Parts: sequence; structure tokens; C-alpha cells
Amino acid sequence: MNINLVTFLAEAEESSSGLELLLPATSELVAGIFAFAIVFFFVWKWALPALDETLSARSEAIEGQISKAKNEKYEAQKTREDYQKLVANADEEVRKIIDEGKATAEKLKEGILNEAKEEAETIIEKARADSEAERDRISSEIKSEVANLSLEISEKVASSMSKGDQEKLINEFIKEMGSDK
Amino acid sequence: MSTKSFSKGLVEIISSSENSERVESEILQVFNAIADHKEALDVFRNFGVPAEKKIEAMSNLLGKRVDSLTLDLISLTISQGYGDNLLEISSFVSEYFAENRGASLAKVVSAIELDDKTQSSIKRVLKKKFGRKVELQVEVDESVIGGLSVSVGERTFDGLVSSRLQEVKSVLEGR
Repeated sequence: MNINLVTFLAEAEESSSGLELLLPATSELVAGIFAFAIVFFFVWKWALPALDETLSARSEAIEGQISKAKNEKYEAQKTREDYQKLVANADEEVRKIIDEGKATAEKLKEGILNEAKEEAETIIEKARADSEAERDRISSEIKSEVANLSLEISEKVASSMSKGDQEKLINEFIKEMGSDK
Repeated sequence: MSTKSFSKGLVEIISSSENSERVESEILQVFNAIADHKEALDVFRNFGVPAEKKIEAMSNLLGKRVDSLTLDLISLTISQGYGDNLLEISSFVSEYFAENRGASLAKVVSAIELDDKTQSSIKRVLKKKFGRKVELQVEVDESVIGGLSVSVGERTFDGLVSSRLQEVKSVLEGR
């Protein structure tokens, strides 16, 4: 145990003279500090701002790109949502179109049927009127024919009146005219 | 000049003449005779036949059988272009003469000739009815078949068989 302590003390003595060997001389240290200060000044004055500017520009560019990417992502999201909505509404739209088509077709069918019905009614009405007119015309013709025939017969009968009958007729009329107010 | 004015002129000329009764009777007979004959009436209505020819024909036809004034008045009527209104003129002339005598003119249509007794009956009935003397202008028309029609002014008494038959015809035709 005593041996180890002696060794240690000896080593401690040796290491104290080694540290001094490691440390630079004071003049070198001053020159080094001065040189470092100059370099530091140049770096601080020109290199750092340029680096800062570059980093800042780079940072802005990256931020811009991130923002753009976000926007694009948002747009894409929106487009996707719209598309999904569109797809979702497509069925409804198709059904609506089909329903409208059906309604239009129904309306057209109804219109055509009504028109056909009206036309048929007009034709029937006209036929009825024509028939009635024809019936009236025939009836009138028959009446006229009967009247003419009756008149002809009566004229023949009346024409065969004797002079005595004629005079009697005239005298009766004169009497009638006298009593007529 | 209208037919009515011309007729009035004729009546005034006839009334102022010495033989007014004869001329009146002759002129009415001639006018009615021409009006009753379709062919004669067609000649008078024909504008292609000159008035001189018509007058000449009348002179040849009537000659000395009528009073000279009658012939002159007939010539005047034809030359003045009233040849196709003879029936109308005859009617107006009869009316004016009747008026001049204070009477009304009754136009009578019959299928047969009316004897004096019948004409007197008609005059008597009409005088009683209208309160004034009535003169008759009788027209015989066989187409009326029978009966009598009497017109005084605007009023007509229609007892013609033809009219009755027409009424029956109208009823049968449903009018």
C-alpha cells in the first residue's frame, strides 16, 4: 500500500511538469487570440449575415413551398370532396332526370290523348251536325214536295170551278169584306 | 220627270180637253191593252226600236179609231221614253181621275169578268167602309184561279184562291 502511494505521488509530480509542456507560450496565446478575433470579426461581419440571409431565403422558400403544398393539398382535398359529392349526387341526379323524363312523357302522352279526344269529339260533333242538317234538308225537301203537290192538286181542283162557283166565291168575299172591320 | 209627274200632266191635259171622258177611257184601254200583251210590251221596252217606229206602229194600229188627242198623248208617252211604264202610268192616271172626281181608286183583281151588279156591290161595300165614292180598276187574271182581291190605297183585301193556296203551301212547308 505504501508503494502505491509513493508511485502516485511520483506520477503526480511528473504530470505537473507535462501540463506546462502542453500549454502554449503566452505570446503565442496572445497572437492566437488576436488572430481568432480577426477571423471572428470577419465571420461575424460578413459571413454570418450572408449565411443568415441565405438561410432566411431558404427558410422562406421552404415555407412558401410548404404553404403551396398545403394549398394544393387543400385544393386536392376539396376537389376530392367535390368529386365524391358529385359521385354521391350522380345517382340522385340520374333518378331526377329519369323522373323528369317520365313526367314529361306522361304530360306529352296526356296532351296527345286530350288532343286526339278533342279531335274525335269535333269529328263526331261535325258528323252529327252534318247528319242533322242533311235530315233537315231532306225533311224540308219532302215538305216542299208535298206542299207543291198539294198546291198543284188544289189548283187543278180549283181551276175546274164553274162560273157559278166563281161568282158564289166572289159574292161571299164581298159580304165578308163588308162585315170586316 | 218621274212617272207620277208625267201621269199628272197627262190627266191635266185630258181634263182640259173637250172629249175628256172619251180620251180618258181610250188612253186607259190602250195602255192596259199594251201592258197585257207581252209581245207588244217587249216592242215598247226595246231600246233598239226607234221611238218614231213605235209611234208609227201605234198610228197605223189605232188610226182613226181613237180621238186625235188620245193618239197624240200616246205618241208623247212613247217619245218621252215612258213606253215601258205603261201599266204604272195607267194606274196613276186612273188614281188622278178618280181623285178629280172626289173618289178613291180601288184596284180589283179577279179570275173572271165582273158583271155590273158585282161591281156595284163592291163599290157599295167600299163606300160604306171608307166613307167616300170608289171607282174600280178591274184586272182579269186567270192565274189567280178564283176569288177577289181589292186594294184601296195602302189597304188590300185578299180573297184570291191562289193566295189561300199559297198560305196552305207555306203551312205544309212548315214556314
